[in-house]
Amino acid sequence: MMESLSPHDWQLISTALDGQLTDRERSDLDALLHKNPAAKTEMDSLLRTRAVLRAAPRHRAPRNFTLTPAMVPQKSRFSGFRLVPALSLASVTSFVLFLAMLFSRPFLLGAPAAQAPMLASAENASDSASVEATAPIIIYNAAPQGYGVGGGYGGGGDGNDVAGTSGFTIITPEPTLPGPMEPTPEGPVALKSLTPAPTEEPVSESARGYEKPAQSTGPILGIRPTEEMGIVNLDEAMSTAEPSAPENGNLVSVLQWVFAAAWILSGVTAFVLWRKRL
Amino acid sequence: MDEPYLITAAQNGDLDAFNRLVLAYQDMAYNLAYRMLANPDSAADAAQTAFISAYRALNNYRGGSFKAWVMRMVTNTCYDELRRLKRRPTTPLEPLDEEDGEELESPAWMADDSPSPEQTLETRELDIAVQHCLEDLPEEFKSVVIMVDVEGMDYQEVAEAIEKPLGTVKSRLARARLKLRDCLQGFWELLPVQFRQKEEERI
Repeated sequence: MMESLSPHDWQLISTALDGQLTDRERSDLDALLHKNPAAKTEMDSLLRTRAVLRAAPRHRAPRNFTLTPAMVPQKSRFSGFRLVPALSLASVTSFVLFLAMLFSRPFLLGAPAAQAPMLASAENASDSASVEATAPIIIYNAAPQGYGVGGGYGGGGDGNDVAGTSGFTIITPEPTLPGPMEPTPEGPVALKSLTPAPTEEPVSESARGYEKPAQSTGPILGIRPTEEMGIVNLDEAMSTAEPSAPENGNLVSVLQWVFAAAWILSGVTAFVLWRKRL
Repeated sequence: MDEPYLITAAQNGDLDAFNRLVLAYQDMAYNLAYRMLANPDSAADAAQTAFISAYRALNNYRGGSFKAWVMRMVTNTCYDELRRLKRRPTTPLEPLDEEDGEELESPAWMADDSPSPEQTLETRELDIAVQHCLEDLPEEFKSVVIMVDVEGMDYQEVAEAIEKPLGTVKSRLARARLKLRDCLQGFWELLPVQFRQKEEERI
C-alpha cells in the first residue's frame, strides 16, 4: 500500500489533514481516494501521528526571558542607517570628481603655458643663433675681473648681471642694433667697449673716481641695457619660468587625494552602516 | 495586547514594550527550542539568545506575522546550537541514584511530578517517544513539524519563519509526518490509552 503512494500523494494526504488544500489539490485527493481506497487508511495513520504530536506535553519557559538594559545596548533614536543614501551619494560624487581630476590633470597643470617661457628662451636662442653669423655671443663666467678703465665692471650696462656670483650671462646682440649700436668701420661699439685691452696694472676704484656703479640706468660707454640687447640670463630664466606650474601640480595632487579619501571613507562608512542596519 | 503598537515602540527603543512581546511568546519559543535541542538548559539559552537577537534586529522586521518572525529567530538559533554541538559533542552529567550511587540513565529527576504518578508516567513516556523520534529527523523537517504539529502554527506562518515557499512547507511536513509515524510505531505500547486503542484498531 505504502509503495503505491507517491510523495505527491503523501503531500496531498498530509495537507488535507490540516485543511490547507487548494481546489485543485482537493480534486486530486478525491481522485486518489477513489482510485486507491488504501490511501484512506494511510490518511488515518497520519492523523494519529499528528494527534500524538499535538498531545505531547508543552514545556513552559523555566524563567522569564525578558531583557534588561544591561543585556542589550540601548537603542539610539538616531539611526545611522538613514545616512546611507547621503553617504552613498557622497561616495559616488567623490569618485567622479577623483576621476575628473585624474584625467584632467594635464589640462589643469597647463603644460603649454608652463613651457612658454622656456620656449620663448629657445626662440630667443634660435633668433640669436641666426645672428651668430654676424655677431658673436659674449659669455661671461661669473664676475669678470676688470683691469684698467675699460674693463672695470665689464659689461657695465647692468652691474648685477655681470657681477653675478654664479652662472653664465649670454649677451646676444640684436640683429639690428639701432642708434649707437650702428656698426662702425672699426667694429661694433659694444665690442670695442667690452673688450678693452688690459692694462699693465689694475686701476684702483678710487682712481677711477667712483666707488661702485651700483645701478646703471642708462647706457654706459654706448652699451644699451641688457633687455634691449637681448641678453638672457639663464639663471633668471630658469627661476622665473612660471613658478605657478608646480604649485598647480601640488594643488591638483592634493585635491586628488582629498577626493580619493572622501570616496573611500564615505563608501566604507555607508557599507558598514548598511550591513549593521543601524 | 496591541502587538503592532508594542512592535513600533520596541523599534523606537522601548525595552518595556519589547519585554511584553517576550512574555507573550516565550513559552512557544522555549518549547520550540526544547523540541529542537532536546535539552532544557540549551533550550533556555537558545530562547534567551533568540530574544536578544530579535531585539537587536528589530529594525529588520518589515511587517507580517511577528510570531513567525520570532520563531525564525529561535529556529536559526537552534540550528546554530545544533551545528555547534555537532562540532563539539558533549556528554551531559547524569545525576547519581540515591540508593546505589549509580548514575541514572535518564534525567527522571527533572520531571514535573505535580500530576498523578500515572499521568506523569504516561506524559513522560509520550514526551520521550516524541522527542526521540524528533531527534532522528533532519533539521529542516524537524523545525517544520514542530511548528505545525507541536506549536500549532499555520502553513503561512511556518513559510515565513523558515523563509521557504508554501509548497516546501507542505512537502517537508508530509515527509516528516511519515518518518514520525514509522518511528512512533515502536512506542505504541508506551503511549496513552487513546492512542494505543486507535493503533490496535488499525492493526
